[in-house]
Amino acid sequence: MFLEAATSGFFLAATYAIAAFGLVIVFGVLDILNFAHGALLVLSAYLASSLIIGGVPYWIALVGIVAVMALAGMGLERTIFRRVEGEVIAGLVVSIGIIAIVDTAILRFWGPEPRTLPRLVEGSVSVGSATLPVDRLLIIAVVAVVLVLAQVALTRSRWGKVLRATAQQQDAASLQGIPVDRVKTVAFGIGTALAALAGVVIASTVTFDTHLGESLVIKSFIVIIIGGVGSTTGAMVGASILGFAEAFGSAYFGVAVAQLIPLIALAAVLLVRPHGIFGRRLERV
Amino acid sequence: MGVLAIAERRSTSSATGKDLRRAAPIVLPLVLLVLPLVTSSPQHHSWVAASLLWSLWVASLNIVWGYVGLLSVAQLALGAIAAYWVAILGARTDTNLGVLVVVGVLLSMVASVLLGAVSTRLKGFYFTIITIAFALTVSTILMNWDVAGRTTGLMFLRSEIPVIHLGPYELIATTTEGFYVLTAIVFVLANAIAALVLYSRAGRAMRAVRDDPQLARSLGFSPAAIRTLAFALSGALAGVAGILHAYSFQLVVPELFAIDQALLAVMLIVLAGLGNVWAPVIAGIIYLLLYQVAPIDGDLRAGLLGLVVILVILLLPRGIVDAVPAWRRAWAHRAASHSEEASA
Repeated sequence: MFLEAATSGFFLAATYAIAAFGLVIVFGVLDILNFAHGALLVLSAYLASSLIIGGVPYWIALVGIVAVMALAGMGLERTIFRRVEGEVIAGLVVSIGIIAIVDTAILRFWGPEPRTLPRLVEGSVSVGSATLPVDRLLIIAVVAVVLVLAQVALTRSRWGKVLRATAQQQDAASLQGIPVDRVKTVAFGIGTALAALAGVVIASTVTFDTHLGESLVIKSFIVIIIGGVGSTTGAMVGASILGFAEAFGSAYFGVAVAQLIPLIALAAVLLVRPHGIFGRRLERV
Repeated sequence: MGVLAIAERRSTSSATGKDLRRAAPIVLPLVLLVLPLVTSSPQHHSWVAASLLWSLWVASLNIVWGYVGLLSVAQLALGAIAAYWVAILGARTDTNLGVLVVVGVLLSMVASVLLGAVSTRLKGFYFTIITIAFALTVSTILMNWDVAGRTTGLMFLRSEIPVIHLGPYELIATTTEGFYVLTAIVFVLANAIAALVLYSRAGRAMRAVRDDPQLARSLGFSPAAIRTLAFALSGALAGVAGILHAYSFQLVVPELFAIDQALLAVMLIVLAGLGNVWAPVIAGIIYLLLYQVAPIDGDLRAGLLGLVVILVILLLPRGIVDAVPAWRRAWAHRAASHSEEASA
């Protein structure tokens, strides 16, 4: 039971972390929390289901969808989000509009029935008395690698420095010759690409419909707030806290209790430490 | 009042205009009560009744978001508390329905005030997140609680249908006309109360607290007290809307009060003009046109609404209605500058 719960915890932590990571990058440069992140994630899952059922190999579908969604994200930033930059509530309202449009499109093209995908890898490994599904272990590994690469890129690479400089002080970054506008567009593209990656990965492990987006984006918000808005390290720590609390809560106290854990954790963090565990104090929100 | 009104009318004509403009949102909805005399089509009645329910949700949201400046996604969850209270106790006890409804509305009000108390610590977006969490908590509890019927919900007042005689009308919710008249009366009263409060000193204080809490405090208002008042009023309206909403479906289920429904209320109010006294009426008209009258495929409606909301935020951030005076001013300005050029 413990090992199964731990695997489940790692898996949930990985999904929350990758969903939240994209949101944090976007928030960093645009000061917007994109509520439609979950809808874009689910759209990617639906695209993956069609491609994979249509016979496209999993990895090609994954790369293709991530690339397409990155472009779509850049388009959204150029046309919509740029104009509400820094206005969190206006950003939220346009996100709600995007959610309505994406959900409508999904219902239109795929219908309301929940969808499932064939599992990425069949089979499971036995460790002692526990049986652990191989596909989840594989996904945990892939996500861990992606997150570590992303974090290293953000902190060590030249591009990461450019991104962080823009997030910290736009005007100063601009004076250093950083093309701030382009950085914002690319950041939004990266954020959406991570949502797409999360969507395709999650699609093969659960039965999903449009509600998956709503629940994941709310969990991502909770993760971000627990960790501290604007901190990628915080997002990963928050995702781990939430993932393990849910997995163990569900294993030992039942699913209903587990569903309430994130909400209790959120209320506790917001009331005790509103800027989160790793967050900078934000005056503007 | 009459003497005062006449005195004002004599002193300046613009004051009369102001009075009329102020009375309109209160008086014009009375037109709703005449509708059954104009059309006897049950379809028309159910269209307007459904739209009025959304007007009530928007009225509730308008007070906290439009007037106190706190976006809440919890209004439908607050309404669910009253609706489920009435449904659960109505089925298990023979308490008087009036008592049940009043206590249910009070419960929504208290829950709203408690939620509002959080806003003293968490501003802006953080408060919105807390309301999302609140809505999610309510729906999680309802979906897992046997007494509330879990995901299948409960019948709402099937066994006990109250008949109220009011002039020529019999208010029976099971007839479309009866439910329409009930909804219309509730809306007219709720809208009038909300409008009167918003026009009063309290309403001005709410806007002051929204725009600048420090300044409001220095003028002698207590931001906490003003917010509490707003949340109490908004919660009571949500409770009323929740009970009527459940009544119209003869059913309480978690989906009726789910977050996507709350997002619909957010979209409607953005289009209707946030913080506008007219917002509930206009939101009702938008809902009537888009969701009832327009021959659009049911699936497409939400997407269309979403598209319009994005366009309005980008192009007319103050909503459709407030944009009209702005356009008029812009046209007047342009016309004036044209005539100046012409004379020069």
